[in-house]
Amino acid sequence: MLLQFGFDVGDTERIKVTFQFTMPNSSGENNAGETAPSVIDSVEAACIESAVNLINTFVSKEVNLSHCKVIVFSEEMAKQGISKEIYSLMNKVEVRPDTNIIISTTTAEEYIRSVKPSLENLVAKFYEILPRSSEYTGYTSDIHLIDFFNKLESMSEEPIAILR
Amino acid sequence: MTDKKIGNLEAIALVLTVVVNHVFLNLPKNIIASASSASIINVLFISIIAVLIGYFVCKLLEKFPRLDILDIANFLGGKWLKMLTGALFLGYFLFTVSIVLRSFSEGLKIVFFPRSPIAAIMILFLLTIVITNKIGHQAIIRSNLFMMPIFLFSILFIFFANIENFTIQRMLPVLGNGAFTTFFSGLSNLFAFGGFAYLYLLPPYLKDDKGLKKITFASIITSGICLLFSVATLLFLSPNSAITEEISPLYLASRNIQFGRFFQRLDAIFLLFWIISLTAYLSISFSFATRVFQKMLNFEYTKWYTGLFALFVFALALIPENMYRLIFIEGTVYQYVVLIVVFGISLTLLILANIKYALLEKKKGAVLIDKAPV
Repeated sequence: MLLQFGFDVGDTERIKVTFQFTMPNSSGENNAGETAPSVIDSVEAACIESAVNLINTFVSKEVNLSHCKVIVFSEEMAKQGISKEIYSLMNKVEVRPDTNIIISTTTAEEYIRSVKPSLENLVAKFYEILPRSSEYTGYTSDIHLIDFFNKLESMSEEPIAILR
Repeated sequence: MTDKKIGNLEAIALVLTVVVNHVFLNLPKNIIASASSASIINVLFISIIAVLIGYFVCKLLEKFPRLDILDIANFLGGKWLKMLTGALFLGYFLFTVSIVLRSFSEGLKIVFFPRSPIAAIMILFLLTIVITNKIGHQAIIRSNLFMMPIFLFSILFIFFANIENFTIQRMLPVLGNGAFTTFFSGLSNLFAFGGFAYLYLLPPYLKDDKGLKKITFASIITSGICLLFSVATLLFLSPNSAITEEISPLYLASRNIQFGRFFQRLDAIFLLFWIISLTAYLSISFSFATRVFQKMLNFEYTKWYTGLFALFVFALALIPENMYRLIFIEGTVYQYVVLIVVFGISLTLLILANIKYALLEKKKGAVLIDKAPV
């Protein structure tokens, strides 16, 4: 199951996309009390479609984005402009409109590799609950892909995202 | 014979099923594409026009109680005009069934079965249609009435559940692309009321001979409300650029609905309702197609050729080579077919029949046509 993916500026191609998957059966009884292991892979491609195609060639299961909880953009990438990626993501039926958007101050890959939930065993649940902390703290915000897209299209608003 | 008659509520649900199902497909998207931010005003305008046309149709049908458009064509121009009108309506129903079937199946394929062949999805629908038609006209109409409140509720629910995501300013500028586009070229959006086709064929099947007026007004007003809510949902929810997708825009709107962490991804349940709704709609149109064919050629039974019609619809549905052809046929060709067949030719036939009736009345006194062809 794909949990999140992140966009960085690529070295050889336009973008570098990092995918984080949970291991199948990682939430089973045998793993109770341990943090579920996940797999992180990166590919470089010209666009998100090519990146998904590319990753599909070397993972044993077909990548499905419908359970993706978070999309991370590196600050460098965000500064260059991410509207192309946002439009592509909005056009993908698999991607849910309530997926959270995060801008990381480091690279997206580094951010994804460094997230180690300490109070949550299931990484998927961690990503679902994390943005909702905006309900009880003022230090973050719950920004969804659809909000970001609507503001990107708006003549009177600027899109904002969570900075981490 | 009495148990084959249709009650007023059943008839209203029958006419409504056209708008409801086209709302689930691409109807609101097509209206927004033509009227832009003035879509709400355009829907109100075409609804008023539809009510006026409905009133006019009822007045025209008053002289021909218990007769449908085929009998009226027979009265006007004899057997050949009856055959021609029948062929036109038969073509209209088969065309609609095939396009709606293909369009909805393509949507399902994109969302749930990306690697399944489109033919396999369509065959499942066609099998259901053939079986329901074998069971009978009455069963389809009653099931449709039973499910209609749920279909209407789903449209209203999507509107109210999305209210917090709405940007009301999207209805500005109020007149969209201008008054001419909203009120004159926007008149072509009357095709949304394609349910009029059933009104022309309903009279012989009605339990209450005087109920046609009630049925017409109730179904047109409810259709207008239904259309208004669906267009408002899309207009307020997404920028125009996001609405021009291949998938049902109302499905995309339903994906935004969530209540806390527990009630998420409600779109799946809506899709289930819409599949049932679409099956009812296709079955009704198919049933009317077979009945028109039966009446045209004076056949005694309809059941034996439903399978042949299903094969024909299947072949017709496979004609569009790709999604873009299909979108063109569904958005543009279907629009003109409805306007020409339902509003152009049928209304002209009714007007001419009324003129002929008035002339004969003048010549001979009262001309009574009380053939009940049920």
